[in-house]
Order: sequence, then structure tokens, then C-alpha cells
Amino acid sequence: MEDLSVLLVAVVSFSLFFASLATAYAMRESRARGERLQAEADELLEAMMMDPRWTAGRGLLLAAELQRTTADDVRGLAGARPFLVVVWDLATDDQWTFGGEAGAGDRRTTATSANVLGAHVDPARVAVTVWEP
Amino acid sequence: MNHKGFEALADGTMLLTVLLVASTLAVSLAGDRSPFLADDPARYAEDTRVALFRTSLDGLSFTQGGAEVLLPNGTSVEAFLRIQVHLGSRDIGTLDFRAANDRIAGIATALVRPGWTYAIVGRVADGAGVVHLPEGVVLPETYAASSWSYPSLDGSGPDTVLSLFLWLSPRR
Repeated sequence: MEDLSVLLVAVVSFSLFFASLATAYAMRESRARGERLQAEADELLEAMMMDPRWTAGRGLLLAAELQRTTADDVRGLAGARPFLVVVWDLATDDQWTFGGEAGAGDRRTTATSANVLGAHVDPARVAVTVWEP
Repeated sequence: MNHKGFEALADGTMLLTVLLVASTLAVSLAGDRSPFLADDPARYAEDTRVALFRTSLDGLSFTQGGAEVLLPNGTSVEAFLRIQVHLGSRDIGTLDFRAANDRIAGIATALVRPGWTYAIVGRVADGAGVVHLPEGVVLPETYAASSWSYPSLDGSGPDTVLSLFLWLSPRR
């Protein structure tokens, strides 16, 4: 009878322990995937802010060049992940959108302030979303 | 219960305790910590300061001693704030920058992401704030800041310092 009690306690204890380990592993992996995705969104945003094809210095985007830019130009910076980049001129309300093919999985968005250089230097916001494939 | 039975029960209790502690540790170490990157708000403040100060406006003006002073079209927010600090830190009569400051505050409000609040402070290097946008905003305990120093417009006197402060301010 005592052996049976000890066996029962051991089985319950080990079950709880391994269930906790599995949960901890799943949580850590999920967090790591989210951080990787966030890092990729940050990298794409930084690349958008710096690319000499449509900027004249960090965060100074050229309206005329944005007009000519295609999603394929931006895809070269984004790698294999689905992405959406929106440049929004807050003075004229013009928007340039690149990409937009939503993935099935998790997503991360990042945004920062910039300028669009057209007739004036306008305030703008650049927002980037990347999805898991 | 005999001696062997008590020993087995004690072993079982000890095992249960050890594994419960280990389980709690395993789950708490893998807990869902929010990934706070200390440099993100600072970088956002820097980007926002540069974007706001680089923005150019037409028709900026102010009044000095009752006379309107019109600045050239395309004057940057940065240049306007530098003029404001320069004049405001000297005793040169009545000045009114409100109309232009309201336009700048409007741009800043649109520029800053939802959920964030800002304050712009302009001052001379060794003095108190001369420019406060929006008026009456009090800085919280924690904020991200980005500042830049400029030489005085007339080449004499202390530098001008323009700062942008940003903090998260969720709607209540």
C-alpha cells in the first residue's frame, strides 16, 4: 500500500514536471520567433529609411522616387517574408504602399517618423509589417 | 504504518516538493517577458525630432512689439524654434509666437504615433526653457529624449538647445 502511494506521487510529480518543461520550451520558442520577426521588421524599416534609391539621407524620402518604386524593389530588402510597407505623407495625405501579401502566421509591425521631400519637406510616417510565411 | 512505510512516504513527499519547485522554476524562467528594447524609444525620439525639425512650412510669422514679422516660405521648424529661443531669451519687447507654435504643435501631434505624447522644449544652454510646446505639458518620470545644440544665431551668448521628449501615454 505504501509503495503504491509513493508510486502514485512519483507519477503525478514527474507528469507535472515534464508538462512544465514542455510548456516552458514552447513559450521560449514562441518568444524567440516573435523576437526574430520583430528584428526583421526593424531591419526592413531601417533599410527603407536608408536606401539611396529613394532617400537623400536617412529618413528623407524622395516623393518622385517613391512614385517610381515598386514592391519588387522593396522585396529585395525584405527577403522571403511577406511584408507591407506604407509611407504616409502627413502634410499631403499621400500614401505609397509596397507589398501587402498577408502571411498566414504571426506578424510584427514597426513604425517611425520621417520626411517626404516634394515641393516641401513634409512630415511622414513609415510603417512596416512582416508576417511569418 | 511501519518504519519502511514512513520512509517511503517521506521520500515521496520530498520528491513531490523538489519537482514542484523545479516545475515552477522552469515555467517562470521561460515566462512571457515583454521584449523591452531600451534603445527603441530613444531611436524613435531621435527619428521624430529630426523629422519634425526638418519639416518646412510656408507663411510662418510672429509678432514683435505689435508688428508682424513674416518668415520666408520653406522655413524649417528647427529654424523657427531657434529664432524663438534667441528672441525669447533676450529682453526685446513683447513677442507672440502662438499662431506658428499652434501649427508646429499640430504637426507634432500628427507625427507622433498613437499612444505617445510629446513635449518640445527650447532653451539657451545655461538657462530655463523659453519654448514649451504644447503649453502646460508636464514631463512624466520616464521619457525618451532627443536634443541638439546650435550656436547662437548672432554668434554671441550661449548655445541654443532644442529637445523633443516622448513618452507612452495610453488612453484612459
